[in-house]
Amino acid sequence: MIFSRRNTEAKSLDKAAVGVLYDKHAPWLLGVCLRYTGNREDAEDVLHDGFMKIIRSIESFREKQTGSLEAWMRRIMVNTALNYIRDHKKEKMFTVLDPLLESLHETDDHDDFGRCDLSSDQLMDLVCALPAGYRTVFNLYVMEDYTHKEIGELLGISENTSKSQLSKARQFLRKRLFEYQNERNYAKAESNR
Amino acid sequence: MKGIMQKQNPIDDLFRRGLADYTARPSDERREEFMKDVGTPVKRPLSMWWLAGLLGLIIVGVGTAVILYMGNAAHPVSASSAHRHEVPSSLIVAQRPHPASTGLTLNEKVTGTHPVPSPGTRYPVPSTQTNPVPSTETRYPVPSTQTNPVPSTQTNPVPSTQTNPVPSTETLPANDPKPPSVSRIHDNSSLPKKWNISLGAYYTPEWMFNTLNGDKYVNNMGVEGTFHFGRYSVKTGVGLSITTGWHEVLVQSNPYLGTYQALDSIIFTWDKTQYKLNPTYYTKGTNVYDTSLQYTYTNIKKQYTYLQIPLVLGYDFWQNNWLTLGFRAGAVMSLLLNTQNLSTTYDPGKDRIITINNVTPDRIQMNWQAMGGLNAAFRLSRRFSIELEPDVRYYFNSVYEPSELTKKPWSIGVRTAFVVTF
Repeated sequence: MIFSRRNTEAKSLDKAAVGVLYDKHAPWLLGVCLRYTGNREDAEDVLHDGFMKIIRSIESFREKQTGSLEAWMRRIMVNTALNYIRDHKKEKMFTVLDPLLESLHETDDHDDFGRCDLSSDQLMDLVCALPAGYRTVFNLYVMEDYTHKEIGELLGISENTSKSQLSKARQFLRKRLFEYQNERNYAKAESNR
Repeated sequence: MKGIMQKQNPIDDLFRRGLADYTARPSDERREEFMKDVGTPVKRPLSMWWLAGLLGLIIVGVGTAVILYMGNAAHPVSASSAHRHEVPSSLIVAQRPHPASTGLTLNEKVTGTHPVPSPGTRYPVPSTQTNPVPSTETRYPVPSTQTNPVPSTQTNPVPSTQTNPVPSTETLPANDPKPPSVSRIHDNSSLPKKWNISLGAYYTPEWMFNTLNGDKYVNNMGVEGTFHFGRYSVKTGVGLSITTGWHEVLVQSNPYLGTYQALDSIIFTWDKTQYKLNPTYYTKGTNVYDTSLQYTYTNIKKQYTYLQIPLVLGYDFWQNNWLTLGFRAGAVMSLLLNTQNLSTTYDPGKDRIITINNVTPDRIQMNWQAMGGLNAAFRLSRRFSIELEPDVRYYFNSVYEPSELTKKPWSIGVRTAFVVTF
């Protein structure tokens, strides 16, 4: 219980319960924030703002009973992150790309990365290295299961822009993964000598 | 469908699997900060709409105060209007104060053909008027400029036979039963004609919001013509809107590593003895680049010049000798005329540029704005006036090309204009 009702009009915040909720959910929510902001400092800012929203509106969640608590918290955090990115426009979001060029890049997306042994921290570093526009669309499409149409509506961009951003993000990540694999193979070959 | 497509992409699968359970522990400082903040009541920051509303209220409030102040300042009765309340001294024989505090009941000595009010007739006295009242005299003259010389506070008992001449209603002008209003008192000789045309030059500093690079300062200037008919007006004109902004591009390039002399061609010539061939090697410098891509964000400062054509309707809701207040609302069309680079473009050095992508989208060629404002025209003379007009504009489309993360901008501005009326 986040709020303890003393009477029908006054509610007081149960700080201990908030602390428990924070300790339980903040780590994975910080992971969500980190994926969107690309750096830890901003991610912690978003986590702070998002968790404040969660605490202040958690009563409405209990009343609505829509979806799981985790999914609801995740939605709030993603929206907070998107607003944060939008408001802090030091890094611009979306590049105008040639659709023809993008269609060519889409064709060679069939490499097998199934045996790639990158740790989750290394994968996160790769995501954080993406430019903001690529990163946002990649996260929404791949991690949040949004469609390009939904992403377009959410971010105020066209469906094609969303597709091209995703394509560029994949291209960027594929290149980095190849570089990693090459380095690893080279290191193996060196060690075998 | 989307799920199937996602499963087909190995990169998506890799990251979806690898990051599904990713966690990172927030720092203790941030946790403490959160626990501290969560207990404090919410302080909602004043939104821009509230600030705009507040600004509007202040403008309306100041305008109302000015109107009221001007109304009160113009109200003192002038020589030309005092006759409306003048009481002929011949009618007044004596005036006695009456104990009544809320009204006066006076006895009259009827002279001439004036009707005889009944002894109980009450004559209301304007509360703002002050009339010096002698305390003991039973007969005194009334100055010709004095209005309603009626005692108000005296408590001397009045004998029932005393005759106190009180101005009868017939002494007031029959066609003007109440005090004239402020606007009627004023001399209207300096007001413009019923309909007229005016030309003017304007300058409007404008602050835009919801643009990509934060708030923007815009300079608007131009000439305009206004057709006035009664309280209504139609205004159009032509102007320039000049603003500057940072245009960001993402440059992908291969880093320069060095130069080597590559063989271009070889020429063989016989030696003097013509026994052997002597080669001559020709080389050319060839740059070597890294195959990896480097990404560079760079900003270029640009100046944008728009042609603006407004069509604004107006309604003047208040007017006096020197000030006119009115509402203005209309549409403004903006056409991009010129874009000029104010800063030098990105110099990649010896790096090889692969692609240049616009991060900040290009400016849109044409957009429409709706504007509304409160106009205050200060009349310097019959022909010349200065206008001050705080206004708000809403842009129907973004100033940038579509398909970007842009919101529809809005702006506030203060239009100043010098106007000549014909």
